[in-house]
Amino acid sequence: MSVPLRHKAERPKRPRKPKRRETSRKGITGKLPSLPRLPMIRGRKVEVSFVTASLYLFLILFLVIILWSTQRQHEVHVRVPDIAKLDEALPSIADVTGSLIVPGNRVQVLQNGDGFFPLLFADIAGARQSIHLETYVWWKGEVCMRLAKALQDKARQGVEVRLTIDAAGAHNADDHLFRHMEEAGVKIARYHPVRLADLGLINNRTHRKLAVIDARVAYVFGHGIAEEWVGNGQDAKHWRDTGVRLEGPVVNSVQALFVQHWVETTTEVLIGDRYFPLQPAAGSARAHMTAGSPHGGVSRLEMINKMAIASARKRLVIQNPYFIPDPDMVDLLAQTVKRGVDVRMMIPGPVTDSAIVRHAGHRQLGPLLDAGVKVYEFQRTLSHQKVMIVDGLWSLVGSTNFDDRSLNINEEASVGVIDRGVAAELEAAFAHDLRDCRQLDAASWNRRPLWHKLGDRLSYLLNDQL
Amino acid sequence: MIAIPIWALVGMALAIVLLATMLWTNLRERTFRIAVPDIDELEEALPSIAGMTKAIILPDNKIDVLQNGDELYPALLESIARAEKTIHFETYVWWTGDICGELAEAFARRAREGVEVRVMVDALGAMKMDKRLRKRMEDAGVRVARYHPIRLIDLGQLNKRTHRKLAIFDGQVAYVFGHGVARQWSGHGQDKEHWRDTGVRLQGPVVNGVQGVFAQHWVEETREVLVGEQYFPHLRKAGESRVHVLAGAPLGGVSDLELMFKLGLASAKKEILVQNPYFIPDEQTVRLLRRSVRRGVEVKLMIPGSVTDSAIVRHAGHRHFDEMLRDGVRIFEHQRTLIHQKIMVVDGLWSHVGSTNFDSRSFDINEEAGVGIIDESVAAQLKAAFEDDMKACVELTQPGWKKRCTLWHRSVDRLCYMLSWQL
Repeated sequence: MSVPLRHKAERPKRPRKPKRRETSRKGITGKLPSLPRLPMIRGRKVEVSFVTASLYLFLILFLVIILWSTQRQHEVHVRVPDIAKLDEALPSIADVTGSLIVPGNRVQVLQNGDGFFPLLFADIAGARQSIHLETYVWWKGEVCMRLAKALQDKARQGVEVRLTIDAAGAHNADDHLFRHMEEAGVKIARYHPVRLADLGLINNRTHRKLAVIDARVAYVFGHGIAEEWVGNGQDAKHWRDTGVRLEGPVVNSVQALFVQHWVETTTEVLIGDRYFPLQPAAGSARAHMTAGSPHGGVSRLEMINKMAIASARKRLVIQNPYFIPDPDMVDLLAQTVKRGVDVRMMIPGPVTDSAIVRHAGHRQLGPLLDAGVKVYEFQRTLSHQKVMIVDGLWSLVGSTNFDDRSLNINEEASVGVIDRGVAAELEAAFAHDLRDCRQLDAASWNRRPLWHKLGDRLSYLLNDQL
Repeated sequence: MIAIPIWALVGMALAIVLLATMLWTNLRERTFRIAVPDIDELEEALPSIAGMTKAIILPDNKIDVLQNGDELYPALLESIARAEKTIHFETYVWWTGDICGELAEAFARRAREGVEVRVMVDALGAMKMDKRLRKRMEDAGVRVARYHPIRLIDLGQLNKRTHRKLAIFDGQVAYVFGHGVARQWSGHGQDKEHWRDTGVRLQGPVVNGVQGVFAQHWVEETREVLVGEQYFPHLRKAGESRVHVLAGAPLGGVSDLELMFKLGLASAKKEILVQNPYFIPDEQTVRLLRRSVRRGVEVKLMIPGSVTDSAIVRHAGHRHFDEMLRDGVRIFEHQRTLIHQKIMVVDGLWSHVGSTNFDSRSFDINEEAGVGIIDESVAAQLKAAFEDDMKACVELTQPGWKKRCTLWHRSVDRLCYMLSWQL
């Protein structure tokens, strides 16, 4: 590096100012013997000893290595064993990912804004003790104002209202809404505020979408608080999404996830019956909460995704808006097809809010199609739901996208439901969505234009961060 | 001398500053001044304490308290001999001594007999491990994994060790303990060379939870996912104790174990017993203890006296002693040996047993494991052991402490305490 630089130094780079160079050089030659160790300024160049320069470079390299080693993702090339009986394996799958299956829950599937917001608003209106809500997206629109108003009203009535919003996800929100809520007594926590002292955390966002009302009812969903999620997924301006409303013992697990970020951001510890009551059975579904804790170690969400795929014996349904499989995942899915499993996957078509994710996802679609995975592109609107259904028995619903950002970087929350009724309901919704889909076929996919393939490859290069 | 453009120099300087900031913000300990509320009823608060530490209280477990090496090691060796399908073992300390050979031999024998044996040792804690033992185990088919091996690409993880001490057999029986694998833990804490420690054997539904904690590190280091009945069987009622698992995975966020200890202190109404070998209370702990004493709670702490393997931790711990003694906290220094057990008993009902020290290294840096046990008879056993240990203790008094604490001693305490975020 030093050799070409020295060359440049000897050439007058900017002939416009030869005079200044002359004088400065003169000044330096005069001082040089007395202060040999200080960096010498010569015009636009600095003279440093070779040792100093290498020390600088070495220090940078060293810092980069340490930083990288603390941040580097432990790629999960997990060796997933063959899972013969899903029902038997479920306790292991839950325990390995740090969740616990609890029986006795009531689960309602909520489709789109129309199926979700009215119930949420009704539960908020009926709350007597506490309302806890965590979200990533809080953008703009009427629904934001309505929600803020509803929370404000309850806080004025003396209900404890706690709202965790991601500092980046709510970056574009109307600040006065938050101010009004705070004035009314709503406690608002901003997750990982963007500031210098937390620079190292800037990439780690909470993508969780949770609500817990009176510690008795919980919501786990994919919806954001924005106009895009209002309506019924009818057009490109109104997106498709899926959530669940939960009652029963699993509500305590949802509460624990809310509280985890709450205590982290506010240091307020929530103790007592009003937050973690003894939950009587409310239904017959078994359920478990799976949360991503990306710091250090293998991603639990990636593990559970892979185990879910490995355990499918009859049919596997995946709906995800941001789907970027890695070669491991492709192999796993290919094996699943070979076992005779009907693997169907729905991803967004032309309506997407992230072209780069879509392209990165395309990178591996060819091999997937060749392996016999049925891939459908949803045409009408952005299908934002994160749903996976295994063998018509086990369903996963929540905030978790099928990409490295969700699996290894952000904080996510999904609920696993073991219930044939719920799985059937979600499969019916999938079948309904299929009417608006275009199925990709391997032959024509592999003939897609060169520029498209190139874009896919370039986007995939970034897949660590997507 | 070489000439480089100013922008390159400034760029390099900026890069260094930026990288250093990112690294610091990444690694710096986020001290959370947790606002611990007053807790009226311990029994009522227990589901919340479990919930706050991301656990669920599981009923129907059987607990056996195992004191010192004399009770733990034979029980472990017997369980190893009786296991039919799987043997899982995780430890931080694996030094030297007869017990190392005995355990390694037992693992190797069962592996040859076709039992799946998985041993996870911390790469730093097991640096002194005899290589021949490891080889003998591996030759016999034991899968030995080392946690966070010391290598360049993991430089940033160097400080983060697994301090967990666990053993699980057939997914049916679990041990959670403070003992290391070394000659210091053999015997029954009779002298300086033989340390005191406490562990528990668990049977019942909570064993699945302990297995989950083991499986977590196992998959991290080996990529092998443990799925199936031989690891996570359906567990039936085995006893009457309610238990919750505490597993510290500290990076990012509030430390579960710190929260658990502090909530335990905040919820006491009658009595708090703490035995811990590395006890460095922060200001909040001091306040919580003061509040407890004012509520009328009898607070007894037992810490090592002159027998300790870490003088710097001992000194850092002394930082707040004067204040605590004035507040009415009773502090006992054990004289006979190193008391290495990590015990807390609250109100004769709820007990903690595990690997977690009362310091920042355990709370915020290392990976720990313990159990919270809700059972009056277990609490009574631990209390009896505490009282037995008291016979070898000297109680500190405030005037005596004042005399002992010369200016020199106090300055050393303060200096050590400054390092407490790494201790």
